[in-house]
Amino acid sequence: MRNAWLLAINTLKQTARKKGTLIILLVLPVIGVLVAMAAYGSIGSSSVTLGVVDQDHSNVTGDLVKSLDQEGQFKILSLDEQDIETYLTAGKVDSVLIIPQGFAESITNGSITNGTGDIKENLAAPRLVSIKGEAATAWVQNYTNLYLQNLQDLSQAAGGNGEVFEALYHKYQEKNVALTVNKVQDQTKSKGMTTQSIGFLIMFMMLGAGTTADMILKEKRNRTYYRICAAPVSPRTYVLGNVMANLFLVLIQIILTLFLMSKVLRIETFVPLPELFLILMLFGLVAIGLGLIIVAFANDSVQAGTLQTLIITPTCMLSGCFWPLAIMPKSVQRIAEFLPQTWAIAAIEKLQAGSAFSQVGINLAIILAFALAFFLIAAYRFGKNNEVKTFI
Amino acid sequence: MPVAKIENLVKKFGDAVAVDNVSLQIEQGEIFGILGPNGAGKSTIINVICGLLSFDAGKVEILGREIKRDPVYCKRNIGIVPQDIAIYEDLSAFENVKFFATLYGLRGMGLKERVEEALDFVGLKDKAHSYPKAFSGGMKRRLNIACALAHRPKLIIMDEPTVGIDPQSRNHILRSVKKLNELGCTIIYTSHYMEEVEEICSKIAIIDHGKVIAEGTKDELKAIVMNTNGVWITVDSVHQVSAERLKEIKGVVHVEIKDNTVKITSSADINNLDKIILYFTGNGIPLKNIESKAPDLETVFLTLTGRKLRD
Repeated sequence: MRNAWLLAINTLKQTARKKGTLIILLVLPVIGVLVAMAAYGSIGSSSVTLGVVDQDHSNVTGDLVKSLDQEGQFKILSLDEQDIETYLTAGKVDSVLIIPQGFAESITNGSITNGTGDIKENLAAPRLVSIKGEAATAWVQNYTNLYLQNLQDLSQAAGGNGEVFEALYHKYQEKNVALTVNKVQDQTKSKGMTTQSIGFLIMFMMLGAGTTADMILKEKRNRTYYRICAAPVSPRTYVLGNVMANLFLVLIQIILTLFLMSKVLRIETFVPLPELFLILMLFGLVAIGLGLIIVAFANDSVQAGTLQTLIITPTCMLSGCFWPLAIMPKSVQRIAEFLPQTWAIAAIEKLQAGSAFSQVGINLAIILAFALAFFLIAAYRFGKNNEVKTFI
Repeated sequence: MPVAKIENLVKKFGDAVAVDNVSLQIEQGEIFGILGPNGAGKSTIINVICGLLSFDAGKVEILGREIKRDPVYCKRNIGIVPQDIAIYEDLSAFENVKFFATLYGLRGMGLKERVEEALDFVGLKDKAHSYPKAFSGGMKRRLNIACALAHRPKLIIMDEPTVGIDPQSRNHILRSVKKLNELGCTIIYTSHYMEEVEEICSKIAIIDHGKVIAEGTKDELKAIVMNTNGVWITVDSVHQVSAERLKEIKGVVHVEIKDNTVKITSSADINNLDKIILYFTGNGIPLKNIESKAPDLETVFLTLTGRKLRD
C-alpha cells in the first residue's frame, strides 16, 4: 500500500509540473461552467428601452410616463423630438413613444373615442416609432392602449365635462388599489445551467482521467514502468497508484467546480451539495475506469488520445451533457441509456425535480456497475499484457 | 551460497524458444558477463532474474530464495540498470534516485544520505537538482545507474549499460562497475561488446540462440581456441582480396575483411603463413603490415558459432 501511495504522489508531482495537463484538469471545468452560464444567461426576460417625447407636458402625460416606468418592463429615456432619429438608429432606444401636444385635452373632452384601441387614428393620440418593428413596439403599444382605455372610460363617464373628468381622474390616481407582485422564480434556467455545467464537468472529468491514465503509457514508453516493476511493486500496485492519483485529481475537479458554481457564481443547483458531490465522485470512478480501459487497449499515447476523442465527445453529446436528452430522437435516447453519463445527469435532474436521494439509488447503482465493469475489463487486459515483453 | 542460481531455464514466446535450458551460477563477488549477439536471449534471462518475466520451466534463485515464491525478497536484493535509460525527465536527478529508492522501502534521513551517496558514486552530486533534460547521453546513463544503487542491492544487473555513449562516459561506467565490485557487489553484466566483457568480467557465459555455448573465466574460454592462430594483414586496397580464395588455403578457418585489414584465423597445427603471403604477392597486392594475433573472445565466439558477435 505504501508503494501505491508513493506511485500516486509521483504521478501527482509530474502532473503538477505539466501546464497542459493542469489546464485540462482544472481550468477547463471552470470554463465549462462559465460557458453554461453564458448560454443560459441569454435566455429569459429582457427590458425594452423606450424613449418618450412628451410634447404635452401635462399631469396626465406625466402620469402615463410614470405608469410605464413603474411597470418594470421598460427602461424609460426622456427625449426631445430632434433626438428621435439619432437614438433609434444608434440603437440606444428600441422604440420612441411620442405624446403630442393636446393629448390631455383630447382625453378630457373625449375626442379620443375609438373603441378599437388603435390610438394612431387620432391626431392627438400618442404615436410609437421604431425601426425594430412589432417586436419592439407591441408590448408598449398594448400597455399604452390599456392605459388610454381607462382614461377614455373616465372621459365617457364625465360626459365631456372637464371638471368632472378632473375629479374622477384624481380619484382614479389616488385609488388605494395596491398591486402586489410576487415573482415566481424561473427555476428552469438555474436547473438547466446546473445540468449543463455538470455535463461539462463530466466531460472534463473523463478527459482528465484519460490524461492521468495516459501516464501509464508514458511510463511504459520512457521505461520507468520497467524499473518500477523491477522494484518490489506488482503491476496491480502500480495501477492502484495511478487510480489513487486519478481519484485525487477528480476530487479536486469536483470540489473546484462545485465551489465555483455555488459560492462564487451562486448558481442555484436545487440539489444538496453533498448529494451532488456523491453522484459526481461515483461518476469519477467511471471516468477513471474508462481511462484505464483506453490505456489498456491502446499501444501508444496517440492511439489513446484518438480513442479518448472518439469515445468521450460523442457519448457526452448523446447522453445530454451539452443539451437536454429530451430534445433528441427516441432512438438516440434509447442508445443513451447504455451510457454512464446519462445516468449521472438523470440522477441530478431527478433530485432537481424534488425526488428524495433514495429515489436515485438505481441511478447510483448503475453508475457503480459501469465503474465496476470498466475496472474489471481494464484489470483483465492489464493482466494479459503486464509482462515486460509487451513494452520492450 | 550463490547470489543467483539459474537451473534449466526455459522461456518461450509462442513457438519461439528465447531461452533454451540455460543453467548459470553467479557467486558472491563476481562480475559475471553474459556475452552474446543481439537477440541471443541475454535480456530475456535478465528479465526473468528480475522477476519481470514468467518462465516456462526451470528454477531461478536469488540468495537462496526462489523468485517465483518470494519475488519481493528477491527484487529487494537486486538493482537493475536497464538497457534503455529509465528515468523521469520531469524530475530532478535527486528526485529520480529518491523515488526509485523509496520503492525499495528507504525513507527518512537514511534515504537522503543514500541518494546523495548514489549520485556521488556516478559523479552527478553537483547536478543533483538539475533535470535530465539538460543532461548529455552519458550523464543520463550514469543517472540510470545511480537509480539502481541507492538501495544498496547485493546483486546489480547491468544490461548493456554502455550502448550509444561517448568513450569518456563509457570508461567512467566501466570504472564504476569495477569500483562497485571492489565494494562487495556481485554484478551481472551483459554486453555485445567483447572488449568490455573481456576487460571487467571475472567469469563469462557466451549465449547464442538462447543457449549457453560456453562458460568460464576469460582464460578458460580462450583455451577453447588455443588451437587457432590469428594473422592480420594490412594492405593498400582490399578490392582485389577474395575471402573465398583465402579460405581455400589449407588450415584457414575464417577470413574477415574490414577497412584495409584482412583478418585470417587458421588452425594452430598447420603452418600456412607462407601460402597466405604468397596469395597476396602472387596477386600483385602489396603488403603494408603483417601482425600475429593471440585469440580473444571474439575469436572464441567466432569459433563456437561461425558468426561474429555483431553480425
